[in-house]
Amino acid sequence: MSPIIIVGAGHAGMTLVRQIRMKDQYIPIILISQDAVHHYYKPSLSKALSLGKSPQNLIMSSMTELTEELNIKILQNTKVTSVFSNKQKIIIQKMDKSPEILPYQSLVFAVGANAIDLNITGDAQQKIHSVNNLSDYQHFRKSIQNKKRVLVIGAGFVGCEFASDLSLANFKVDVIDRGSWPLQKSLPEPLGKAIAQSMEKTTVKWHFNDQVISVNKKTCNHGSVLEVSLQSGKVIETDAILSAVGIKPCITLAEKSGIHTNKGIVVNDFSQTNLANIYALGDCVEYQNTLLPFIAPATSMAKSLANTLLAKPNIINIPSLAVAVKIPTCPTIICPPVSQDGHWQVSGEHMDLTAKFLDTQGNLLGFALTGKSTTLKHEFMKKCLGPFTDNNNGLSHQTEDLHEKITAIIV
Amino acid sequence: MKKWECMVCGIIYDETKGWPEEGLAPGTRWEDVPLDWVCPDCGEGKSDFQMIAI
Ligand SMILES: Cc1cc2nc3c(=O)[nH]c(=O)nc-3n(C[C@H](O)[C@H](O)[C@H](O)COP(=O)(O)OP(=O)(O)OC[C@H]3O[C@@H](n4cnc5c(N)ncnc54)[C@H](O)[C@@H]3O)c2cc1C
Ligand SMILES: [Zn+2]
Repeated sequence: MSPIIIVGAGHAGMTLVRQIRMKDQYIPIILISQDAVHHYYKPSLSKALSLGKSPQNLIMSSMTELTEELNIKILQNTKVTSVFSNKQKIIIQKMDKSPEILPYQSLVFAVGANAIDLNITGDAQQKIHSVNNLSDYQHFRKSIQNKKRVLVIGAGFVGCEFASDLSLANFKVDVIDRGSWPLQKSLPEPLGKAIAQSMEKTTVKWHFNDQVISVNKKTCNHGSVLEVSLQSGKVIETDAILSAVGIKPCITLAEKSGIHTNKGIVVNDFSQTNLANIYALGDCVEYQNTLLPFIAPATSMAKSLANTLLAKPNIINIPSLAVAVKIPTCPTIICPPVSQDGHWQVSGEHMDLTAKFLDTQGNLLGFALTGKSTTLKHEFMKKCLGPFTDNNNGLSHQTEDLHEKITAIIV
Repeated sequence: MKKWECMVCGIIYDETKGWPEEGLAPGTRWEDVPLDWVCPDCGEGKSDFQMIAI
């Protein structure tokens, strides 16, 4: 029997393997990744300094352990270069080896997303780091060794978390963002201000409504430093630069394989692409016009996709999402509203704020909580409609009669 | 009282401290945590936690 082939060994791919193995010990599985394969938890990257962990310490199991524990074949440092969906075969390429053909029973894209590169000029432009996996992070940690200052581009989830982690480790941090407050896309101004103020009390300095134009090397008496020029004319001297301006789903391989893509790889209620036997989940996926590049949606997609791959089709059911932003000075929880049609309603005082994102009928579409209000998380999650209202009405889609109907749709 | 670690994200549940913000009072034993409870960090189920030595 041809194996289930999973491309990508991040949280999405790895969770899917574990979910399949919980139900079926023997079905052949091949896990392929262009990077080195080991189990680490990506969200830990932006709290590793405060945890006192080196990049190496973040590895929870090695490839050998995973192979044994999960009874699968792992191909690391191996890239999937083509998919022939009509023949159910893929071509893989391992570093300096010649390409190989592999047949599959089902193929799953768990290829994640890539960090967006900004158009920044200057002779030290290649010194800009971005961190989207463990090996990126290893390079970044090397670049800040024995250094005191880091400049972070972008005040979104990842930028804020790294700024916070670096400041707790006593780095002087400058954060640049085009917007007027941190996490501007996900929460309203009062909460953004609360976060900003809490971090200003440490070693963080914000530069809002501004952009990085160029990065140049400058030699001075204690070695070489980086000089960052902003659109406003400000020039900031720093030792290392981290760009966290967002990610873009990896869609190139899917696109050239005839799979429908838009912002991400487009999937239906079963995580299936437009092609038979080809599925996708995780950061690379677009579901109902929405990208959900977070851990929890990938986990719930993996749970239902495991059933679907084992011939028990299961509709994906993504519960409302509450992402904790790792900023110890101002605990923050965000349930990002999927629709833009609505308005924020803020209450609370000082740092302890709640913000509801409501539509015209008063339905709760999303929320954000800071400070002590974060304890209201469960209460808000219950009230929130969740990202996908139409399949989130509390009905279980796993009943037996539905099962047959669904099988008919899929086959 | 014991400690339990999530095998996916590494978060630790300490029975002594409980997890008040997740609805688990201090002193809640692991066997008394509801079966449908999920890890607040990564969304994994109860079965993915393993006991660790203190
Ligand atoms: C610093 C940081 C902190 C975060 N914190 C949180 C948090 O607190 N909470 C939260 O919910 N989310 C958080 N996230 C987001 C979360 O980590 C991601 O949503 C999740 O890890 C994505 O998993 P994935 O498996 O879909 O993608 P990835 O982890 O990107 O894995 C995809 C893998 O596929 C491989 N691949 C791609 N193309 C090919 C190919 N052609 N052939 C072979 N292999 C290929 C890639 O090399 C990669 O290893 C954070 C992200 C970062 C960067
Ligand atoms: Zn967990």
